[in-house]
Amino acid sequence: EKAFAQDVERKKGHVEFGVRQLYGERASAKFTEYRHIPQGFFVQHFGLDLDDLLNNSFFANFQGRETLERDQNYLLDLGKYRKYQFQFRWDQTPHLFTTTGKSFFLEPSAGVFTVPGPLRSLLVPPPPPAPAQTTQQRQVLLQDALQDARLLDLSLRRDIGSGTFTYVPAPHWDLGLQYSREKQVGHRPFGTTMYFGFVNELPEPINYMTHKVKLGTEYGSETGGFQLDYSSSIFNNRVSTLVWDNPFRNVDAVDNPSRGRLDLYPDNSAHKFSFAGAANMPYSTRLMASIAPGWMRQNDAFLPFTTNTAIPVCPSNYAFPALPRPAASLCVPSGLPASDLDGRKQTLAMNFKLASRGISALPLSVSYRSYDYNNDSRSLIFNDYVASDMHVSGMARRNLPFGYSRKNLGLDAGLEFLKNSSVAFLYQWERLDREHRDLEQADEHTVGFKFDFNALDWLLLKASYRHSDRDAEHYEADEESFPIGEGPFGMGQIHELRKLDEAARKRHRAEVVLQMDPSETYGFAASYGTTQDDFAESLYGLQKDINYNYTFEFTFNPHRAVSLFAEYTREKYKYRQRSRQRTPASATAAANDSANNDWESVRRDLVDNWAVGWDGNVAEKAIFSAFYSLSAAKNRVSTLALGNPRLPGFLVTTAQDYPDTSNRWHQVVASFKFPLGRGFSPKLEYRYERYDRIDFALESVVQYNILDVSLVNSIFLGVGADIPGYRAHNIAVSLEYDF
Amino acid sequence: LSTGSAAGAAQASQAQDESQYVGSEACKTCHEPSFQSWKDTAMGKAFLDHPQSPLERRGCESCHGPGRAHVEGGGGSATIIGFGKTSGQPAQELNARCLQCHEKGMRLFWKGSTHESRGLTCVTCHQVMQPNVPPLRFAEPLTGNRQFVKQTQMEVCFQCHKLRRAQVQRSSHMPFREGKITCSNCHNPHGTPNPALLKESTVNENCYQCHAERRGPFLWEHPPVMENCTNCHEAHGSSRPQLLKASMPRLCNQCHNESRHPTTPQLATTRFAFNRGCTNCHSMIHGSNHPSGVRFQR
Repeated sequence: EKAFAQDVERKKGHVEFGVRQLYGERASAKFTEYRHIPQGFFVQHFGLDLDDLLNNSFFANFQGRETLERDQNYLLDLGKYRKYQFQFRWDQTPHLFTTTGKSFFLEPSAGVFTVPGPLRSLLVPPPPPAPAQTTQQRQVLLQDALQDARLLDLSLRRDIGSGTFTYVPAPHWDLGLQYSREKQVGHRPFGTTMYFGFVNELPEPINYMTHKVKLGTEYGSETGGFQLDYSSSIFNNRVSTLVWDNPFRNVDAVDNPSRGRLDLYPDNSAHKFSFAGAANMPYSTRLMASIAPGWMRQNDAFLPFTTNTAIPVCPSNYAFPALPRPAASLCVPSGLPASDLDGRKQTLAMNFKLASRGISALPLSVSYRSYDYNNDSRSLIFNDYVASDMHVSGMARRNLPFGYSRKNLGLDAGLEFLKNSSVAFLYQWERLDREHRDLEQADEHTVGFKFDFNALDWLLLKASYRHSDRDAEHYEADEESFPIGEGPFGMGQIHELRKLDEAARKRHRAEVVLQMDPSETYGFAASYGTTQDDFAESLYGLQKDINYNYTFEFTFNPHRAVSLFAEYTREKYKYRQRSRQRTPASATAAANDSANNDWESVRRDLVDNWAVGWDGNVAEKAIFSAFYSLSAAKNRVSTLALGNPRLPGFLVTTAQDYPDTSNRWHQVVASFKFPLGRGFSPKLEYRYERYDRIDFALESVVQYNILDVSLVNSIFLGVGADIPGYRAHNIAVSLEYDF
Repeated sequence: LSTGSAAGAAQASQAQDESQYVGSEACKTCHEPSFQSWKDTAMGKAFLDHPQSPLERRGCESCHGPGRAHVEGGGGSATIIGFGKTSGQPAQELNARCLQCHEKGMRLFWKGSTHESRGLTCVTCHQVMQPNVPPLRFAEPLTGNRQFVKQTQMEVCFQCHKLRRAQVQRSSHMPFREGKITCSNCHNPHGTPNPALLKESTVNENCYQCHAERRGPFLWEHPPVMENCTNCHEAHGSSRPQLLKASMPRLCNQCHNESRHPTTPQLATTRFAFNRGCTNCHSMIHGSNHPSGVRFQR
């Protein structure tokens, strides 16, 4: 107890400040993805804990971390004990996407991207009879332009300020009011397209503001209690459209627009009431229930179909011919079917649960849950639309208000056979009713057991197993072909495909956790988990999804003031999916829909995690803490054509294994602290981080100007958003002062 | 079982008898350091300086039960309710001590919850007698409540959820290890009526707390997106960008087998596979409100 007393000597405040120096290759966005690590002077954290103001009646607590840095955060708590409390929080979080992004586009106003006139005049092909640019000429022009392109700031900053007030008007009662304001500002890489084969990556402007309000009250006593809450969230996007020039065209033409326009996320709002209550009943039984109706709204004005002025507009009394339409009849509707969506969704969550220990060794709980996601948004018919500001699609479209209703019934019956040790049987049923999806109703039954053994104070064993069986008896693959599928010019979904979230599925899931502490000196823990999904009825689509993981941990405490640990985790994932390459009929060829064009892809992921560490005194006045950790992931995608390439009509020529991708994140931290007495503790801390990444998907775009080999005339004009590896040394000398 | 129940019954019997209580001053005689530590906690101040019920006025004995037998027996763990690993009390009896006052708020749905039914106790995760120290390995959001048995809340959860510790260290992650969010931003470990102990009714409602722009409703919606974000994303961490469960185009190939390019395996050097894969063009994949946005390109 005396030693313990030294540990718990309470202070009124603390502060840690010092100087920091960084070394190494640290230009990668990964290094400062969500943080700011400036060199020089820093204030790591501080706290002031005035918890005994005015005769122990009032308290005030103020703490901060990363002060004056771009990831700073502060928390102020003050109030009167047992009566009221104010809490104010301020938090900044940066999010750096890449440090390598470049673009020759200018942004004269938010969300509007233009190509400088001189450059555009070079990139736009000269009018006939001058010869058209060759692919190589265009590439040279672009490369020259990109050499002088501006470096982009592709990062966000999220600032959240919130205030919470809680008040206790009487014993058993609470009132609460909370308000938060969240602002997100910045740019992130974003893909746009103008025609099939032209990807033009741009910095998407982000300027979001979200206001949230929550107020509620609660009553609680020995017999039970209830909670009433209302919450509201208002989202506002201050840059609602993205407009950009076509660098290769300055006059609109059908199939070749001079600019494109995209509708960014619309403003929306959500409101929710929540009523929850619980009653303690005889026989150690508690009845709990909650009802939470919610509303989501969105009524941003629709944009016109296109900005392309070369696309003919239909007369207002135009009668659209039946599908497929002759090319000569194609024109864009003169008006929209509505000025906005009048988007309305209602949700209703209802939960009822009875938990009982009427017989203390036989715990039992029964629960019922219903969640309705009703989409009452308008379903509008668009007689036609313009594909990528390029041309009229020739297809009518109707938006479908997707909705669903999920019902769950659960039973959990246990038997306690020793102190803190039980075995339990569980059963769960789920019914999912969906609107406008391939499968309108699915049932899933789950049975399983749980086993917990903790009768000995040095041994803990927890195990569980569940088997689930989800049916998909009435799957209709055509459900999506109109209005959002390929329409009359395509083939629609292959009928034997089953989408993974709707497909029949057998799931086995098992988990085991073991903890042993045979003495205060040693400890050992291990865990194993697996989830195995078998989509046996899915001839196409995802067929298997199997993963395993296991962990070992070892702790060693040779002395009260010293502890060592070692951890290892391995995760293995395997997925198998099947597809068929299909070509619809054209003017010159019949449709090709042969099983000889089937292909299969297998994905394998392997992730290892290692950590070892030391924490404790190395001398009477020296505390040393250190650890090393490594997270290493390797991903493989293997793809194989299943057909015979010698048979006529064989299409699958691009089935190939993708290059393996991998990443490794090492972290070494060593900290020496020298408590000098009177609250002063100098500290020396060294951190080393190393991140390595191999990823063909990113490495091939660092040139940010690639002619896509899949199409002769296609172009990928990226911003070059690479996230390379880094090696960073961080040495900090600081002083901790507790007062 | 019999030992724990018998002790519990004895304690319950004694708890009714006021003469069995000795007062906190008596506890302090032998447990001075613990008392000094506890009296400065929020609970200590509430009980000692601002008690609101007879139970709270009992100070130490509010939680540890009547102490007369313990005092007269010269100490020992058999005569007092202890909360350490060697406690003779079953989990539900230990929890009952805390729930005397804490059955409100986030604990409304504790009984029958996942953690309650697996025999966890409040002290599996919390300790009230000892202040905590700043973490070295994982940072966490500033909080007024640091009464955890580990340095951070995440490490408390990692005691059993060991896979999550590995996942938050992956290359693609939310700012868990940077201390900007933590487990309880999304989950309420004390029990909720929602799946996976989520604070909100569904996965998506949880995600919309920070990603309100994805909420819609949209004119053109992508059904698996609106139904469950985890159809495509692994929230706890992934080795692929954007927390994706699989790289594109294979992620999309799982469901899209119409004709033309979604059915082609695609070479690694094409725009279907590099950079952001399918979302190089279908960038409004979470939903579009543009009349021409049916393919999520506008």
